[in-house]
Amino acid sequence: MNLLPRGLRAAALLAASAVLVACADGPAAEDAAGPTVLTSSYPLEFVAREVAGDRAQVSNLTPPGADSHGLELSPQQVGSLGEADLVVHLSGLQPAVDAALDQQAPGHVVDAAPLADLRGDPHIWLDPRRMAELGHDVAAALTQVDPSGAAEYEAAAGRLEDSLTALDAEYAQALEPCRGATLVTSHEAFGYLAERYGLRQVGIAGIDPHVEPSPARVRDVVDVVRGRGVRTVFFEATTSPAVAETLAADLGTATAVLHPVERVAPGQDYPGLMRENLAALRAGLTCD
Amino acid sequence: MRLAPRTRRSLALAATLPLALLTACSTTEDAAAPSESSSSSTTAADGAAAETGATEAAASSPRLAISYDGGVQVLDATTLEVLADEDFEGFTRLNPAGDGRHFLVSGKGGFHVLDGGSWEQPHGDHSHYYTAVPRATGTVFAAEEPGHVVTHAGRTTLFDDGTGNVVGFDSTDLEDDARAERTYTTPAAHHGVAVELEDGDMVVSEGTVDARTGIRVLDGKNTEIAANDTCPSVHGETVAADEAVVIGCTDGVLIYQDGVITKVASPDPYGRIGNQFGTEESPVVLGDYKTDPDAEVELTTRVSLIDTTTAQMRLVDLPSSYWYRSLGRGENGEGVVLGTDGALHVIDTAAGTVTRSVPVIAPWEVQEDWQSPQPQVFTMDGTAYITDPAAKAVHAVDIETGEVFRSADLTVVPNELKGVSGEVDTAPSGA
Repeated sequence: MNLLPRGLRAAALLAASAVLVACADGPAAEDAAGPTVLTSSYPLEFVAREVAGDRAQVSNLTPPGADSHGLELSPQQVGSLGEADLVVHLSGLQPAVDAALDQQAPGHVVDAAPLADLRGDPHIWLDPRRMAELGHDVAAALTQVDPSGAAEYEAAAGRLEDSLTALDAEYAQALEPCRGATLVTSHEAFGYLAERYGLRQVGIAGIDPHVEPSPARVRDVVDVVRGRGVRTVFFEATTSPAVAETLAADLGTATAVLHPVERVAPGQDYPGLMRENLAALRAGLTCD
Repeated sequence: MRLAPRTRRSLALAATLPLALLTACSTTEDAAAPSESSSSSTTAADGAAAETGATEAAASSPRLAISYDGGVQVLDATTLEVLADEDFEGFTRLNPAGDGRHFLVSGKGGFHVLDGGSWEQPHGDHSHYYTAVPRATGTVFAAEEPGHVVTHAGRTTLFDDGTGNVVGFDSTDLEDDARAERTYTTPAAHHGVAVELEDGDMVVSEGTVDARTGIRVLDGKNTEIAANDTCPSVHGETVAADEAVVIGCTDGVLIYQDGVITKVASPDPYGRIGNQFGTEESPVVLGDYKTDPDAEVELTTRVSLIDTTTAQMRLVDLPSSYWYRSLGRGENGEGVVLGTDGALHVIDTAAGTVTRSVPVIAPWEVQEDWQSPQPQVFTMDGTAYITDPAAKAVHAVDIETGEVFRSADLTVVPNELKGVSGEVDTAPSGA
């Protein structure tokens, strides 16, 4: 992992100012079609689109529905990174993007890594408040690229913050009775969510929702779950009936889907999936 | 609720800062500025996730390899479904390569790499798991007579019986042409074995084609630091808890631990241990045990338990005979032996007692030709996998409960059986 160390945040802040001063009249600002923004994964694309509105063109390196971690870049995509006016990425999440940025430096970069301050966990977007913060970062960077749009970008970032604040409030209210509950998940992607709303995330390894596990693997889960008052094991995807039955029989738990929102299918979006997750948590966690 | 003021502004250009400044503010210089950090972009770890044809899986996907006359099949160890079938000429031996992903197939020309098609990529405090279609990669470690492959402490050590050449390397560098290799050649070629330890010391067998006599221990520079020549017909190795290495002899075993070699005598003048099965979960090693030096096929019904903490050996009588490739270990240190009665006998290796006998396959006979297909046992993650050549079948037995929880028919007559976990830092038990 090469997430940005905390100590570098001050440097980043300084750097932002430096770029602002040095590049206030960058050539991209005169582009009639508006600045081009390239994002590296869906959650970042969501924020960028919300902030850019119609003023900038946002595209995502990871194709819809594709695995962002394992993203491979074509030579054209590596080139497009260098040509974009702004790249929004999360260093450490996608090695291919990190490598390409090393070689093809774009005009401006927002690296969301400083928001990822839980060690080893890149899934910042599962915390609405961190997403709001990222929105303002993107607005500031777009303002550097396109100074005349400053007011529009900041207003859009403000609207995004308002909607994310509302989402955060929904989470906080709905999960208040669940504070201290254990969130058992097959993919420990929910650290920021758990931290924000007072849950205890416990990861289980070794169970694929589609493959009936060996008895030894089920025992490993039993050891984790036992004594924690757990009613539900959350998976990224719907479990096959065989897996659900096995866990119900051996653990006495139901299974439910908790979406990591790292990629979306057609018709899905960040707010929708976050609210589906909230409903699943409220239904599956042990709450007062 | 109101968001906290953005006191820790995180506009983060820092990761690519020097380049961003360099190129963003210049219209005349070449945008493809030299990057001092570009060399870090092609590490094996980075590339692993982005392999062509890889599919992410929610959990590690262990694999089995089964050799047959003409090739090797790779199975999903959870579903027992056949995933790939690769041709291999002649008689082959199978070995886990040590990286949790690949197998080494000992065959014509050397050790051939077979990708089990399942691997783990650690990602901070969690991991991502990937699968791909298993395949022979084409990589071959040349050897005149490819012999034992030993994996321990992240190192893979190959022994060429034809030359006495030993090659050791980091298991994760298996497919890296630029891997650093440690090499050593024994004074005389023999059917030997070598194991590298965590601190770089290496235990290597000593002998000639006619007489194998003992072991030597070499430091990281191949300088001898200990030796013992009281191990007739030295054969096989395993590592128990606290890195106790156990080497088999025809009159006992040698234990090497913390710089000291200890001989443990068998209770019989000829009491041969040639195949040992250790696990990091237990200080007790399970070994085979034979007492007739002249028998072509000795229907032994005893196994040996060597306690590496006390240097004591005891023998356990089983309800039936077995052969040396029907032994293994459970994840709680249990010993398992598939008997010729077709039952899997589970041994409490601390108490020295048989705790359970589970019928798995039909009774079978040990054959004189060790290369002909016979039932085999491979243990991994608490499961004992058992092949049945007569019925062309494979079974998965939960060692803790004795439940035969999955079975599958095979299209081939299975000979050797091995497995990989699909996880890094794994050490499947075995000799």
